[in-house]
Amino acid sequence: MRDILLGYGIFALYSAAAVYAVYVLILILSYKQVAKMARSSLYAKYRELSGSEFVPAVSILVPSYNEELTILETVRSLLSLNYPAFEVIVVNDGSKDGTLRVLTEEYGLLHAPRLPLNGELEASPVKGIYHNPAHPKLYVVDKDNGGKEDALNVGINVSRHPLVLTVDADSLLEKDALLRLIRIYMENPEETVAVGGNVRVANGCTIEDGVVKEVRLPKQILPMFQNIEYLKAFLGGRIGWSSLNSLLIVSGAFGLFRKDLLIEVGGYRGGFPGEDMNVIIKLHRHMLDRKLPYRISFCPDAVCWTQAPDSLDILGNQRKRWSRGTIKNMWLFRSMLFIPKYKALGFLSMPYTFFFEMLHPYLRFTGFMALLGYCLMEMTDFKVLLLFMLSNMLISILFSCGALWIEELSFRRYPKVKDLLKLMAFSVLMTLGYEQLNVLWKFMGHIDFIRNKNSWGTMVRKSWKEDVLVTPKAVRNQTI
Amino acid sequence: MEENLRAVEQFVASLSAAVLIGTVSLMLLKTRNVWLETQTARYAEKHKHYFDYIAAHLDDDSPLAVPSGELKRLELQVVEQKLFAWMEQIQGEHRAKLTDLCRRLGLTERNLGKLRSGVRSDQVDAAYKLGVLRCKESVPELLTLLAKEKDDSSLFVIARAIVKCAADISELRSMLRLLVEQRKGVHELIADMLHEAQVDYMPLLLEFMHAEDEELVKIALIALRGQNGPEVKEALAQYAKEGGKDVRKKAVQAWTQQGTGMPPEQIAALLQDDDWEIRAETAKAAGALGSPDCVALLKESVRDEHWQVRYYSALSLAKLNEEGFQALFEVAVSGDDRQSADTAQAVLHEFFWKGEQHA
Repeated sequence: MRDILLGYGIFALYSAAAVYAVYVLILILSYKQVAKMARSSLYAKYRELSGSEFVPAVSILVPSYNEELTILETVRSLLSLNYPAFEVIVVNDGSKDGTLRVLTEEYGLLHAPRLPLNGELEASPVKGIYHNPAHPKLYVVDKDNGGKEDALNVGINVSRHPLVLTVDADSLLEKDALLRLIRIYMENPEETVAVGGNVRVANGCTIEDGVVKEVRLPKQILPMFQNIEYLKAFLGGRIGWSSLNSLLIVSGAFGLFRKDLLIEVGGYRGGFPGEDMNVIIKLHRHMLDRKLPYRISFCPDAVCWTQAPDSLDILGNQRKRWSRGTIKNMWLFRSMLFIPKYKALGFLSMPYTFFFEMLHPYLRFTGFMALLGYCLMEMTDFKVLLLFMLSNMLISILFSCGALWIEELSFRRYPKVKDLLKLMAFSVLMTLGYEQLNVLWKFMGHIDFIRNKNSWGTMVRKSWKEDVLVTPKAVRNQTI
Repeated sequence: MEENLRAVEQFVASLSAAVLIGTVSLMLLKTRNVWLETQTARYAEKHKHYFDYIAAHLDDDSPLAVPSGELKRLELQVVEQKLFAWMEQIQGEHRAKLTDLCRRLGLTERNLGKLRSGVRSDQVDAAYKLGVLRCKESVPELLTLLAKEKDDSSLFVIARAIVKCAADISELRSMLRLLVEQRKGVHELIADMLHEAQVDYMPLLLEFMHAEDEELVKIALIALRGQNGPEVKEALAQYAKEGGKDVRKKAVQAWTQQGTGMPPEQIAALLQDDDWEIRAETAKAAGALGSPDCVALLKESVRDEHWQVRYYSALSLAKLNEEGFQALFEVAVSGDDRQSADTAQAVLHEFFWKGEQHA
């Protein structure tokens, strides 16, 4: 028994070391990349591009289910984008609330005759299209409920432009966010397949007419923890992964895609949490199978603000769903693992996600149990157990520190010293319970996967204007 | 066991030290950033009257005076930032005057020095600024830098600077040849950049229309959109017939925007093309060019197998006055092809509905 415990302890230790080594590698790559990105963004000619006849037209797709409280601000934010050629297609996915009503009332929309132009993706039939020539960029498509993926596929079928931008209905884009994504696309249009934007937590910010007027940190504890998680995932993670061209996810909340390729890979897959990861892996596979040069990029200075859940129930549901989506995708694409033609994707990002991110909860839990076993069998004392726990906390704080360094070096969205102090304090606090909860949620997500549970769970959405709780809804959200 | 404990203690101690160093350095970085912001705001306030003076005297014959007293490094950066922001928005005499002021402030010399420094980040920064300063003497060095640059974004910062600084089309030609060697398919961005050139680049585009390198041809086709003239017309006619799919598509697009008629026989040939994108672009062009000769051709192409060709043909018919409308009605009521009738009905419905809403 002692030998088994000791052997497992060593295995868990080396596994944890390997996970952290990959984290460090990605963080270093992010550092290397971010200064270049910030500099080129500083010199980019966004003002000129916003009036240029040479920027490609974009169809913005907004799948919406029971978004009565947030949809108007989102649409306002989209219609006021600094971009010369775009259309906004809100797909009302059989909402049970007044999503369609608030939109038709606000914009004076009428049942319009425009029919879906193509049926290249399999999707539910359209019940009606609403439009008002006085708001020529806005179309609202009404359909029966079929899930977020189905709504996106309908949006793709209805769209007219060669590029599509997917935006969550509870998200607000900064005015030049689309221009910033497009600049990345225009610098290499032949190879760019998708570009992801940076999603930041809007809780606590002042919002007027669909625009974040003043950036502030969330006042509540859970959104504050998520804020740090988002900074770590987007700045400390995705910049690095994108430099290796092995991003596994472009957030559904804010991602730009080439429509022809989305159609070639069959669009979004139905009944699938983690549809954003699914479509990105399909795009990677499609390009690598055909040996075509391509890139899937991340643009950290194109910002989309989103609402973070502020209750444990909702957050737990979201995290379990993300965990279920990840394991489902990894299982579905397991044949890509360690196949040379899939390059860094097959040898680094997928194995990392498959073995480490997915198995991480088990390693942490069983590693802790093994240590506890050592102590009980007097193979070691409780001091070692405490030291291991402490080192785990310190490593997490160190990675938060790394992400905050990138933020401070390049973006500085939180200008005050006290903001940084608060972020640091919460980086410490989140190691005392919140991270352990995340491990539990991941584990529960895996159980849901085994039980073949496919529901989206429930969500309580808040209005951007009022800080009040509203009716429960089935939520679909992006994976960070 | 003791040994293991010591190892773990050392590991935790080094982690603690790393966290401490990380936190302290983060705080120092924050403090520095806050200090820089405060100082910048202070200098901007200090030179407010000087900036007012510049704005008021841009039309004077005499050169603009430099700020009084010696400027500290950050102070000079604040002045530079303000002047550059203006120079990016204005043109002609006013910009020339500000450029002259920047030279006397030593900004041109300073950025030329940075360009020669060998530090990549400084070089890219200098390239951008020399572009704003329209510094002609920097072009040879910028071309050398461009040839070495591998990073996507920096490549375009340098290329744009060369476009702004180029004194003749030979420099533009060298830049474009270097750029297309390194990056394929960036035609739109290059066409956008060319608008910032100080020299007349039309002869270069006409030269590229006959280049062997398809990349240069595509750049010319895009940048020449909206341009007229027999030489352009002849080349467009040629490329619409020959060349790769992308070249032909761009030639048809350029033709549409050129605003002159495409011969019906050419439209007929292109509407029969094997590639649906060429057919769709041609259908779009036929409506935009407003040629009534196209009605019969478009009426036929509303029956195309591809939905985009059907849709654009129907839209173009709707733009071709009474004759086009009548043809569209005939397709809409004909029972022989359901898809084309549906498309025609949808376009007619949309057209009338929009008309009602506007009324």
